[in-house]
Parts: sequence; C-alpha cells; structure tokens
Amino acid sequence: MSQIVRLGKNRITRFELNEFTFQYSAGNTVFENVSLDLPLNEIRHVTGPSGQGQSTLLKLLALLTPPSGGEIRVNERVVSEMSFEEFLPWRIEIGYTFEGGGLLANRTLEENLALPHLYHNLSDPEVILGEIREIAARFKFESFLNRRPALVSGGLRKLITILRPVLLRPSFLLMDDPFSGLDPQTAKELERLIKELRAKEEIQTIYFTSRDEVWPQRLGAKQLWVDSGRVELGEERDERAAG
Amino acid sequence: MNTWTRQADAIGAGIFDFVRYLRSLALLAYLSFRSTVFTSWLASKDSGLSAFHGFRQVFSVVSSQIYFTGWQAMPLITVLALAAGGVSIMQSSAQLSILGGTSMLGNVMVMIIVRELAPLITALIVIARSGTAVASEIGNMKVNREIEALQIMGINPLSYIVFPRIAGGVLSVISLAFYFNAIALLGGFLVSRAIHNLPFAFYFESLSNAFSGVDVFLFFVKNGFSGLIIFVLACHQGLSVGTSSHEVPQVTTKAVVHSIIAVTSFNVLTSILFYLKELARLGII
Repeated sequence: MSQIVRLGKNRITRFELNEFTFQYSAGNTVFENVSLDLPLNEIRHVTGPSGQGQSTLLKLLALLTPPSGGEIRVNERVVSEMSFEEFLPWRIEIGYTFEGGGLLANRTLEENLALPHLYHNLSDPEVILGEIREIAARFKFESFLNRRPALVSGGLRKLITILRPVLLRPSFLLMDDPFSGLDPQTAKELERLIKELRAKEEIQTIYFTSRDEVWPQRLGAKQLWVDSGRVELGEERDERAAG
Repeated sequence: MNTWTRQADAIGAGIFDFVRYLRSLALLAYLSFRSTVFTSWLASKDSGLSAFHGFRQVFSVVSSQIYFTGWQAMPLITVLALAAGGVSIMQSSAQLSILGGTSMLGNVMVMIIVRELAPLITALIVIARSGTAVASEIGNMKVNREIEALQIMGINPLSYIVFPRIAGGVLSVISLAFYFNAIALLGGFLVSRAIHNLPFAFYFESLSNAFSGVDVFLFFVKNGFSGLIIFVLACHQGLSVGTSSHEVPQVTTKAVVHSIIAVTSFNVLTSILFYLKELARLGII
C-alpha cells in the first residue's frame, strides 16, 4: 500500500477514565464511578452480558457522547475542557466504526472514504484516491466506488464504515461489532488487513465488540469486561475470580 | 394558586422559552461561523493543520446549496415575478391615469415590488423549497448517524453542515430577490407597454427617479436577514432530531411554520420602522 501523509505527532499514548459515570436518563445509569487507565498497544474484546453497555462504552471512548460525570483524559488532557478544534489533532487519532449507518448518503463510496483525508489535507488527493482504488481491488468492490451508499448492499456499506477510519491509520481504533454482516471471505480479508496494520504499528490499539467468540480468538484479543455498571480488565476479573 | 397567578406563570414560562430558543438560534449561527472561519486559529498550534483547512470541502457544499436554493428556484421565481409585476402595474396604472399621475408609476413599483413583495415572496418560495429540504436532510443525517460520522472524522458538523447551508442560503435569497425585482419590473414594463403604450425611456426614467440609496439598504437588510432566519431555523430544527425517523416530518413542519412567522414579522417590522422614519423625516410625526 502506498504511504499516506499523516499529521503523525499526536499518537494516543494514554487514555484514562476518572470516576467516569454515564446515564441515559435519571435512574438509567449505565456506568458508575469507573476509573481505569486503558491498556494501549493491544487488541481488546469489549465483552460481557448482553445489554450492559458494551456499544455505549465504545461510543463514549470515541468521544461521541460526553460522560454524565467524571472525566476522560487523553494524553494527560481533560477532553471536556477542550473545544472541538483544540482537541482535533487527537480526535483524528481515534477511529470509530459504526455498527450501522454513518455513511454520507449524498456522497459516493469513494468520496466517503476520501473525505477525512481531503478535508484535513492529510494526503495528496491522487495518493489517497490511489490507495482507495487499491483497497477496493483487494476487497473486490472497485466497480461500486462511484455508487452512493443506498445503491450497494448492506454488507458493503458496513465494510466502507470500517475501511474509512482504517485508512486514516488512527492510533486507537474502536469497532462496534465489525464482523457481523460481512461475508466470510470479506471478514477474513479484514482480519488480514487489521493484522498487517498492527504489525506495521500503523494502528496500535484496537477495542472492539463482537457477538461471535471466533474473531476475538483469531485476533488474539484480551478482554475488557463490562457488567453491572463496571468496566474491568479481563485479567483482573480472572484474578478476582481465582482469588 | 389562583387562575391569574397560573396564567402569569404560563406567560412568563413562555417568554423564557422563547428567549432561550432565540439564544440557541443566535448561538448556532455564531458557532457555525466561528468554527468555519477561525478553525485553524482555534486548533492547537502543534496540530499541523493548514490555514485553509477544510475550506475547499466547505466551499463545495456552499456551491451545491446555491445551486439547489438559488439556481433551481429561478423558473418559479420568474413566473411569480412576472405575474406580480404585471398585476401591480395593471392595478396602479389604472388608478394613476385617472388621477393623472402616470409619472408616479416608478414610485409605485419601487414601493410595492422592491420594498415589499420581492423580499416576502422570495422568502416564502425559499422556505417552501429549501427550508423544508434542509430541515429534513439534516434530520435524516442525524438519524442515519452521519453527523456523528463527521465528528469522528474530526469534521465539525457546524462547519461542514450548518455554515455552508446558511452562507449558501443567504447568498441565494439575496440573488433571487435581485432576480425577482428585475423580472417583476420587466413584467411591469411589458404590461404598461401593452395597455398604455408607454415608451421604455419613460418607464425607465420613472423607475430611476424613484430609486434611492435607502432602497438598496432595505434590499440587503430584508433579504439578507430573511435568508439568515430561514436557514438558521431549518438547520436548528434538523439538528434537534433525536434517533427516530418519525421526528423528521415533525421538525420539517416546525421549520416551515417558524420561518413563515419569523420572516413575515421581520419584514413587517422593518417596513413599519422604515415608514416611521420617513414620516419623521417629513415632519408628520
């Protein structure tokens, strides 16, 4: 793959939750007083019983929703104290893939993939368009690049929502159930791509949810356990259970 | 609590809600402008962002908005402007020729068309065509999580979604109102030529004498603010959608109703202030 020009000097080196609380409404608390220094440079499977807030946690880590209480610190900076523009250099280091939706309906797949690069002048238009064509050939959707999202299959839409942040090579990538809805061959190709980018350290940290236990094993993911308003590292939970 | 106290409370709460609503509209307009024009100054110094960061993409959305709001509305504006100009001159010239004041045709056209009808009809057409489109488009973007997708890409939705629609909308309304005036005055001439065989030079001179600097000022104030009101309201309503698609038609209707009330009130208020000033200038009040 050709090299894209990155901003490069703002990699996520620390991500902390301090007395972090989140509730959808009064009496509907999802997380309460969670304090955790998230382990980086590894793959984590965000798991736990259904409906405990795994996807909500990813959305909160993607900073799409502010916490109801406490704070999130990224590289020692309190996110809530910074404006959108001030936080921008770190924000584009945090990728997030949607479980559904998230593609701009009035843009083609190619324009959707290229938008962040062109908007932030991250790379020469020819370089990024070349890379998009390469990745489209790899996942066999070159002939659909000029179509709008409504005119392609749900599986391809899902793949594009995953590839868009992946092409940005964020240092911290959050994926909400990335493998469901993809055909087995595309899912395996995605697994290969993720492993390649991790090996090259272009994407350092990945946190993802998955209903399927196969993918976490294949990616060698450790666990981040979400249950009853608590967020706990899998190894700590195992130790607690053993002790 | 007695009935009077309850009613006073309800009125007070209504006023507070209204002021809060106006504040959020003003804030939306201000923040969208700030985040677009000053992005590179607002971003951290070590971000490495270029001074014209995002400008090209934002500009492409502004030009699409001008195309949809301005260019595509021209056929409808043409028909309505010709009709408004023709009807106005028919009614006024019949009365003026009885009174022997045909030379006042220009004044009548400037008062009726340029100062009153052009801003109001243009605004109503833009509300019907584009205010609805913008509110429902942004509402659907919200439901489809496109706004969140922009945020996660580091693109401020206020800069990429709201600002281009307001800027493109205001420019379109001003341009459409100018076009409405030109076509309506032309329509007026065609009718006066057909009925009264009025020479073009006479009509043109009458119009030239009637125009003054204050008409240019009123033109920009009325049309500029109408555009601002329509598009800020439409964007605000669109962004107020939560996660359900059934909210989209509701906010679209709200955007239209609020825009019609706000634009009409603004136009009437501006006209009243203008004529009070004119009356004061003439020493009548």
